[in-house]
Order: sequence, then structure tokens, then C-alpha cells
Amino acid sequence: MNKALLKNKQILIGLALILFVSTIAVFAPLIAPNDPNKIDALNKFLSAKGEYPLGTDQLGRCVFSRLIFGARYSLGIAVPTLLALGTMGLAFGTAAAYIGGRLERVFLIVCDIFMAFPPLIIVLSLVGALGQGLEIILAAVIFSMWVWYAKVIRTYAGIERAKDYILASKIAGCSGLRIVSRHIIPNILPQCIVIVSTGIAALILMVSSFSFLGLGFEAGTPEWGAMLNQARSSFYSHPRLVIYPGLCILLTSAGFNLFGEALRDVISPEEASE
Amino acid sequence: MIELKDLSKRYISKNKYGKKLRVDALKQLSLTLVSDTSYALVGESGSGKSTLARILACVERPTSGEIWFDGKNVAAMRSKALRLKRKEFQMVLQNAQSSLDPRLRIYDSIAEPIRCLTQTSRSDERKMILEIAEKVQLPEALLERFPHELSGGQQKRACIARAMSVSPKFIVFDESVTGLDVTLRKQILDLILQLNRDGRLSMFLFITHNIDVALYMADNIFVMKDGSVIEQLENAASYGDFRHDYSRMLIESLPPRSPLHR
Amino acid sequence: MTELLKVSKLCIGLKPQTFPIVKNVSFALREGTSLAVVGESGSGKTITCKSIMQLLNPKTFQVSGSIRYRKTELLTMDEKGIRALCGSKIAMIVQNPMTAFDPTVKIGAQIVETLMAHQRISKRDAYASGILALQKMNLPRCEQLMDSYPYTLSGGMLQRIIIALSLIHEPDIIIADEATTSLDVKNQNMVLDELEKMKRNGIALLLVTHDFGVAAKLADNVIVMREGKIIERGTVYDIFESPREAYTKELLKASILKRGNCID
Repeated sequence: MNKALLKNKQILIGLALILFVSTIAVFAPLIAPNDPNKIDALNKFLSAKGEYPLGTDQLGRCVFSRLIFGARYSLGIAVPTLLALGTMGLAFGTAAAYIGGRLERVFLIVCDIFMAFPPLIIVLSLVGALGQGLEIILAAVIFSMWVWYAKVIRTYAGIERAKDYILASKIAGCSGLRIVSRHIIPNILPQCIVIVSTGIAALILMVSSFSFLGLGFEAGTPEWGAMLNQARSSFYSHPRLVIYPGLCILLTSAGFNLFGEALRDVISPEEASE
Repeated sequence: MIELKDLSKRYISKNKYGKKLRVDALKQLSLTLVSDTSYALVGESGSGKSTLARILACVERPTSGEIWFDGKNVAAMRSKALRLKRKEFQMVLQNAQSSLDPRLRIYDSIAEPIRCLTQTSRSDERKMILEIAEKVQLPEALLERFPHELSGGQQKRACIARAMSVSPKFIVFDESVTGLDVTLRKQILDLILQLNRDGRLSMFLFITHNIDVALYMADNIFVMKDGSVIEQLENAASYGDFRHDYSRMLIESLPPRSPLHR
Repeated sequence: MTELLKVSKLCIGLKPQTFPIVKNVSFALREGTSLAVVGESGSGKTITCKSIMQLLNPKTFQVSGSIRYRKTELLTMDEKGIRALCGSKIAMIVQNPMTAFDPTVKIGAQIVETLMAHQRISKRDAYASGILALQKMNLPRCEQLMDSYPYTLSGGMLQRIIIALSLIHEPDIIIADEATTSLDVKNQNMVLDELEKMKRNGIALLLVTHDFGVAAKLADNVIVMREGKIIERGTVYDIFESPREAYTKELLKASILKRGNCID
């Protein structure tokens, strides 16, 4: 399978993009030529040259350095959040699908209640109640989003559970826990990886929109979404300030999307061959 | 000996108006299966034969009734005890490909009952699996492959090997050769009969809709219709032994053996 | 009796290396007769009938030779012509009737939808001709059938509905690809009886099967395929009473289960 992974061009491109962005995020202080938060009121809206490779923004900060540090914020928030969401979704979704019956119906009702409220409203009310801070935003995002993942995963697990081999492993004497962990989860993992890796783009945008509303990040934090929002006012005069962070978001999410979808094709050869 | 007493199974489903629909898959069914004997059960689709198979394999409970085995009522057992009972009752499903986990190697699929139901060391387990694979004529090299890399016949053999790996006392074959090519069907049937003669599979129930297959597999034949057994034959040898109108109808539905008998 | 279908020197290969799956297959089908193509799975019989219906993806399959319907060559026909012909004049019945219907939509609605896709008729006319087709097939309580969901009906009933539907366009040829394999004996018998009636009405049948029983009941001529080649052909009586090839004999022997001959 590893060979197949390396042969697939789509996976390689996706992986290269992800690695590229992750490397930048890890080594941001070494790569960035300037302090991303240093305000230089004399050099506002400079175009690209020498000291500032991509010019400066409305406060005279180095755009290039800010973009590089932005990778840290975006990935550093999106990836752990998604891992938590994925794990919770997997645990609740598969358990509900496997146990079935009344418990599954209760689970679905809970899901529907949660889904009736847009995540933004839940986050706003939680932040209002618990106060500001990055951790609270993360907890609020996880709290408001986990049902979306759990419900999708429950559907996949439900399809898998109805298959003959689950009945066969029951006949073979597997306990419920073993059926879920050894049979259902490995078989829906490709789909889960796809959901999780394609969800990153949405999450990056979501976190950014919170920072625009003044939730979570302090003002002026070099976060791509926040940069995008701040640059909107000068869109006509200096469109590059919008284009650069937009491009960064596009590349990062494209990397995760390409990787996730190609991974699914490789992991489930029987589906791809049809 | 396995004794089924007044076994009933009722499924309740709802139609789209929320009205409850009751389906009685088994109705007051009583059967006695004697050890070391092979049985066949004939019935058309919807006669409740698959439900009976699942109850016998301890993966489903009857709505009412008793299953007596070794002096215990299996139907009243707690879930965990019922699960461990599968060491003695095993079942082979109709579709071999879909009953193997696509992500497990054949070896692990066959080993599953041993791992779940017995405490066996890995080296003993390997010995047992190689032995059983040889018995069902599954080459050792295939054990490391995935299900989709095997032919239909090999998958079927793997399923039989899995059911036999814990040396159960009783195996149910639920439509295990339906849809197979004639040559493959004969190979699998002969394999089961061969294992039976070798004493590896001393007691089985072969469920089928085809009276030819039933006659080929066993002397003791049950005919099932709408959840009850309507005819029970011992030492059945030919079509002539069937008396019930429904059995006669099933025989008349069989395609002719030669164009001369059209 | 006119010759309806003539397949000659049909070769099908799997691209890109054109790995041969069907080699030099020729046969002809006349009005009101039936031909059974018998073989094990992997013998190329299903691919052959898919190529008649032009259902093979040209990106993966290389098809050469000739398939003629009456006087028209199908292999060089454009897509519009194929669509007009296949499904109406040449109908195909597939193995699993359960997957041919959408389980969540009533039979009647699906019939109406199919009919309206093929011809310009109103919903009411489509419904009426659907019921008429089911009645022609001697199906019981047709109006109730139209109002029921696929999962409430048996496989045999669904297969008969599919046959009834395929008859609306008055086909000349019905291709039955393992049409009774997933059915139990009682349902199989019903479907075979219906097909026999079709044959008496002048429709040509191409039966693709691994079951010699189906051939014995319905076929006039039989071809035996193995690994993409026709290894034996003859009338059904020839094949059953005096098969020449060892492979045919082996298949025949395996299809008849007789106790005592299980160990050679």
C-alpha cells in the first residue's frame, strides 16, 4: 500500500502542500525576515522590495512575515480541533450505530437539537458566558461542531454495520467492542479521514471569522482569515493584501483536500476499481 | 442433541404512517436435531429459514420458545454466555465475499473465532489454521491475501474454514451454494460431505431452496413454509418420498434435467 | 423466420494491452427461437451480451467484429441510434431484480418515470400503459402492485415486473443475463414460464446462464463458452444427449446432483 501511496500523483501533490505549510509553520521564526507585529507607520502600503519581499500592509507590517506566522495559527488551531472532533465523532457515531435501537434514536434527537443552532450562535453564547480566550473558543467550536461529525460517521457506520461481514464476525464470537474497533472503524476510517481533512479548510475559515468578530485572538494577530478581513477596506487600492492570505488559505485547504480524496482511492481499492 | 420447542420469532416494523406491521418469521416451530446427523432444510424465500439459521447460530433470540442443548436452555442465556455458545454453534452465510471483512487478511478472518472464543497461544493458533486450511483445500499462500484477491470458490472455502476453526459441534449452512456455478457448487457440496465423512463436521444443517441440493446433502430433510415445518423426512432418497402438496410443488418447479423432460 | 441478431467474429479485449476476454465468438438468433449461452463465471458470457447492448465502456474495452440487428450494424452506430434501439427493440433483464428498483419509490412511480423518459406521453397515459403491461403479464392485482414498494415484493415478482416493462416497447429480442440465478425455484419457474410465453409470441431469447436446467427448459440451441471461446455448439438435444467436449460433459455432470457420485 505504501508503494501505491507514493505512485499516486494527487497524494504526492497534496502531501507536498501539507508538508510545505507545516514546515513553514514550525520554522516560522527562522524563515520570516521581519517581526510580523512590528508596526512601521512610515512605510504603509509599500510594494515588494528588498527588506519586505511582499510589501507592507496598512500598518506598515511585513506581509510576508505575517503570512508565514499565519500558518502557525491556522494549522495550530485547525488540526488539533479537527482531531478532537474526529475522535469524538468516531466514538459517538460508531457506538450509536452499533448499539442501535432506542439509544440511536435518542442520539439522533440530540444531534438534531444541536444542529438546529448555527455553530456561530453557540460559540457566541458560550464565549459570552465563559469569557474570552483561545481555549474557550476551541472548546466552543468542538462543542458546537461534534454532532456534525458524529452524525455523518454514524451514517457510514450504519451502512457498514448492515453488511454481512459484521454478522459473520458476530457469529465468529466477536464482542461488540471488538466489532466496532476491529471491523467497523477500520472500514470507515478512509471516509473519516476524507471528512476530517476536507473539513480543515472550513475550520480555518471559521476560526478566522471568529477572529474578525473579535473573538479568540487579540487584535492584530497575524492570522490569515483576520488578515483577509482587515484588508477588505483597502481591497480596491491594494488588492494584493487580500489576494495573498486568500491564496494561502486556498493552497492549504487544497493540500488537505487533494490528500484526503486521493487517500480514499488508495485505501479502498475495491471502491476505486469499480 | 438440539431440541427446539415452540420457537417463535416476530419482527415488528413500521410503515410510513407509523402503523406497526407484525411479521411472524417463525411460528411455534419445534424440531429435534440428533447429534452426529446431517440435516437439510428446504423452503422458498420468506419461509423463515434464514431467521431459524440466525437463531441457531446464537446471533438472534427467539421471541418465545426454548432451545435445549446439553441440558441448558440456550434461548434464556445471558448475552455473554450466548456469545460463548458460538464456539459450539457456527454458521456459514450465503454470500462469501461480503461475509469476509475486506480489510482483514484471510488468515485473520479464519483466526477470528479462535481469538474471540478460546484462549489459544499464537503458535497453536497457527497450527490449527494451517491444518483447517489444508482440510478445506485452501493453499497456504492464499492465507496472506485479502478477500478481493481470491476467487469465489476460495472465498467460500475460507468461510467454511472460519466456521470450522473452533471445531464446533454444529454448523448451519444458510443458502451457502446459491448463485454459484454448477461446478463450483458441486465442489463445495462435496467438500462439506467429505469433511462430514472425515468426522470434522459431524452435525450440520444445510439450508437451501433447492430440493436437489437437499437430497444430495442429507437423509433427514425438513420442508418449511411460512415459519413452520410442514414435512419432515427421514431417509429421504428421491422425489417420491415427499408427500406434502407444497413439497410436490417445489419439486415440480425444478427445471428439467434434460430437454426431453420438458 | 428472419434472422434478428447476428454476431460474427466478435472479439473483446481489455485495454490498454488488449488482453483478450472474448475470442472470435459468432452466433445467430432467429425470430421465435432461443439460444442459451452456458459457461462458468469468467467465461465471457456476460461481457458478450453487454457488448450487444453497447454497454461496454469504449475507454476500457476494445471491441471488434460485427454485431448486426436485422440489417443494421450495431458496433458502428451512433449513440442516438443505439439508445433508440437498445432497451426498446433489444431488451435486457439483469440478474438481481432487487437492485434494479429504487427501494424508496413506489413501483408505479418508477414505471411512469421510465416510460416518460423513453417516449413523449403524459403521466396519466404512462400510468395506464404501465398497468396494461402488468395485466398482459398476468400479474395479480396490478393496481395494488403499482402502489407498493419494491421491498414488499418477492424477487420473482420484481423480475416479472421488469419483464413486463421491457415488453412495453415490443422488443424482438430479450437478453436474459442470469435472470433467475438469484431467485428460488418457485420464482425461477414463474419467470421461465413467462419467458417461454414470450418465445411462443415470436420474441427471440438469448439466455445467459450457468444453469443447465434453464437451458433444458427453454433453449433451442446451446453454445458452451469457456475462457472467452465457444467450445461447443449444437441443438439443446445434442448438447444434453451427446456432448462431444469433455468440458461440456463435466459441466453437465456437475449440474445434476446425484448421490453416490460425489466422490470420483
